[in-house]
Amino acid sequence: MTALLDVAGLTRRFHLAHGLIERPRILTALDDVSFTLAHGRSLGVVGGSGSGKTTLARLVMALDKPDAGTVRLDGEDLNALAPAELRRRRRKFQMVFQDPRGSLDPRMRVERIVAEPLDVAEPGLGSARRERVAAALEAVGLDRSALSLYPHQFSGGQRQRIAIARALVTAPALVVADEPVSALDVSVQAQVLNLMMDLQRERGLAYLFISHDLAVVEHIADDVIVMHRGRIVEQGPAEALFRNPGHPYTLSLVEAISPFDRMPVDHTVSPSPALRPRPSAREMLPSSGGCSYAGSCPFASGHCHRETPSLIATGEDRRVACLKPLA
Amino acid sequence: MSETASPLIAVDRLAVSFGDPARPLAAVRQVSFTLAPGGTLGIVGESGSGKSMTARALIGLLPESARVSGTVAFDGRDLLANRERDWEAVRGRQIGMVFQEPMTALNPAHRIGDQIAEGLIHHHLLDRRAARAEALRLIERVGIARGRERIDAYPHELSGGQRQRVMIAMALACKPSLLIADEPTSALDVTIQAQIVELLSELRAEYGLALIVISHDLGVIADLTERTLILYGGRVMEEGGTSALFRAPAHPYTRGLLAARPGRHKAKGEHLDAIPGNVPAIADFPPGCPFFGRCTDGTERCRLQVPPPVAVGDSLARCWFPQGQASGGQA
Amino acid sequence: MTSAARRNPALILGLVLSAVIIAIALISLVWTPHDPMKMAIVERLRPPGGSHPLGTDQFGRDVASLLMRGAANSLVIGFIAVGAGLVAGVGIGTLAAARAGTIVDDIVMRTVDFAFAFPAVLTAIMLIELIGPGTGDAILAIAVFNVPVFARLSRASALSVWATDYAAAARVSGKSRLEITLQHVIPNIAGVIVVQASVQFGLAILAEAGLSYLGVGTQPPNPSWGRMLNDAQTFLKVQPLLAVFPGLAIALTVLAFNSLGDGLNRLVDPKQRDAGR
Repeated sequence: MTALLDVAGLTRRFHLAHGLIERPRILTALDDVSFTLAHGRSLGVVGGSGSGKTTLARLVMALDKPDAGTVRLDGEDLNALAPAELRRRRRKFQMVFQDPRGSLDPRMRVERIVAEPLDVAEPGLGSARRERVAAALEAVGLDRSALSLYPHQFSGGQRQRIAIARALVTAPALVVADEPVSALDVSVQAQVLNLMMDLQRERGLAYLFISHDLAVVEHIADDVIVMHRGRIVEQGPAEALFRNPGHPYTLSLVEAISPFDRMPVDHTVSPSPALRPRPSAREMLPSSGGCSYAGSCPFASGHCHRETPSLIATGEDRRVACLKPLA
Repeated sequence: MSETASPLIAVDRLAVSFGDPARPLAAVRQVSFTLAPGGTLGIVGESGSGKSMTARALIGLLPESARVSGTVAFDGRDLLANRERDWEAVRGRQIGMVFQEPMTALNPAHRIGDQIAEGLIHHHLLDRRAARAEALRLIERVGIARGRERIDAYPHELSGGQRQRVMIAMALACKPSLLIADEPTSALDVTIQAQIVELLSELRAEYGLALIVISHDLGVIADLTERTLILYGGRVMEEGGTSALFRAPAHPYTRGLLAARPGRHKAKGEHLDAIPGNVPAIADFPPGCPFFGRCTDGTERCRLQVPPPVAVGDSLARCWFPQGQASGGQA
Repeated sequence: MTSAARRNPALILGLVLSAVIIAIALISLVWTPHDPMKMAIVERLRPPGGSHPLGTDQFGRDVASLLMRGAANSLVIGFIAVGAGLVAGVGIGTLAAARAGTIVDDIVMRTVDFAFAFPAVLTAIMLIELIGPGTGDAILAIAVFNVPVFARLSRASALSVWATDYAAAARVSGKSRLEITLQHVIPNIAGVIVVQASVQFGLAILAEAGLSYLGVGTQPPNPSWGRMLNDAQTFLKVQPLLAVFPGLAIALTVLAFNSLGDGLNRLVDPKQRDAGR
């Protein structure tokens, strides 16, 4: 069976114009990224800013073209499709953006916003259109009275529900979610995460779930890829990867998870920061050659600054790009 | 109130409101706390909680349209009586501030070394040469590598984490006795966040600073502070020792916040214990407890009457029905 | 209303003044105190008073009537010229924005820059060579002058709409660039365009007066404020008021539409609007 999403060798470079005198610099935002995602599964993507997470999301959504590599959805190369053909395919893969204040057109009513993908996928629905939109709204826990309102009449959490309804209205197989809860109030994040998990179970959705919040990714994702400066440094099943990180960068991310997310609320011992590995208060420098993490890596040797490690299988379903993997 | 040592800062019934005086929008309502010299306090809250307005009131940066009442006694002086000229002697000199987004708080047209030195020169603490030497020392102290090169860099040439380090250096330059950090890590990557938290905690001990950290991130609060204030809808919901408060939260809101995080107490993919409902707009909070309407225990009394503080263990919870046995206060 | 006036005095001033001017222009089409075309040499160069509240010109025509009909003339020219410039400019600007970074964007915007480099007067004079003097070339010259203004503004505003997540969401939905331009971009830039249009309207009236003053705009015997100024020049010593009235009319009209633009800007700019909250 072919995977729902098959990303192979994806590379994207940006040319940074740098004044008249300096030579233009090339930033490799995404470097030879490959992975697959099966129907109904969740793949978490974690990494810091500049890791290429958002570039990856844009390329998977075919909002941008790669310099090399392919994005296949159900076996079909998205970038080989004619523009009109691609637009017809879009009903199968949808996106939820980070900030619902920016992803809903302030001048449109909710009905028109949610209907947008439907109008392309199934034009001329007539009165059935309103029913489809109302059903999508009800599926995300909003009343049909929302149809005639504008986005600003809703709270942040409700707006994100509207954005999710829009992503679901054409019954897609894949939803790319780029930091879907990080712009929301802490007290409503859990509601939206619960909703996303319910929808996945009910509809067999596959998620490409991008987040900087490891606790959230660990809770939601089946598999995880860890990115650093445009490359995948580690990938594997979420539980194994977080319990037993193979790459030092993954370890540093896991260590940065707050003590609250490691302990039950009714814990009897107080959080003891002394037991946690203490991060250095000093700045880490990026390395110029070799492994992109070598400059910040506590385990790096001279070798690491010269040789770029490739992604190698270290166990069942696990791959690590490190010359001296931890696990 | 028991008097132990004279506090560095004592906030008493601080209130900030906006709009039509007949129907004011209350952003901060009756917030009180004290902080001893060298002490640490976390202020936790989400949007509309009043945490940022509280911070701004402490440093005189409220919008012109704000109406303020209550007192903010700092070193025995009421800061709320300050005029703009009086503030200039306080800001930077006695109270330092670190903002969430260093890119907007730093001046893009000036070199970072000059920006750090500026406060020292402005407050006549050092001459130009000495101020530059001190700026270099600070740049290196806050952990920026290759300080001698970076002292002449412009803010846009630095990464987000470096800029936040520069902000901290600027805030500390005049050796203030209080540092207010408003979401100091929220704009940064997780691994950088941990470094900045570590830096703040080192510097606090080194300078003997009192520290107020404002954040929605419970982890940052836990790492940096001894006492915590939980704000919601402009009111204090609960206050107490940080570790006790997070270990045994008494207020339903605090409990809800802690339980809603996906943590090790939940199996993978299991439903999270979400707080129902949404944060209301400021005008829509009920007259009584602001959490009424989202709280599972809410009654008519909660809706109409502001609960008094009730001691539960080591914390004070403003709730009619706090978790755990109420050891003081009466209904 | 009173609080609205206090919050946005420019809007109120602009609305009232422009409403008065438009009303006068409309009335002039059906009624003027005297026939503005009718000459009466015996009555020439009368000072204000009597049956001629603003006096008469060198041909004995009633100045008040000329000003009224001139208002209609100016407004029509301004409306057509700005309207044409707006439609063409917004079309060009949004096209360039939809194709930002491509060769289409470059070609379109460089052409616009080139057109912008020509003064309106020069354009008008060239057009007279082509189509002969008259109202038509004034309109065309002013319209051409307006195209780059709207093209640049709408390109810049459209680019910021294209950068939003809701534009990305529309692409994710499968909408074409044209559909996104029509459904998302134009509704969201309409505010700034309307603001600019009212400012440009004031400028167009000034430009028309300037062109007519030079003799390349409205041709006699049609009344025009610019021509009136030109004619008044000769009699400045004898009857200086002849220059004052059309000058005042031009100044007030420009003020009216600039205030309107300013006021509307305050109304649509969310930053200024939210400042009161």
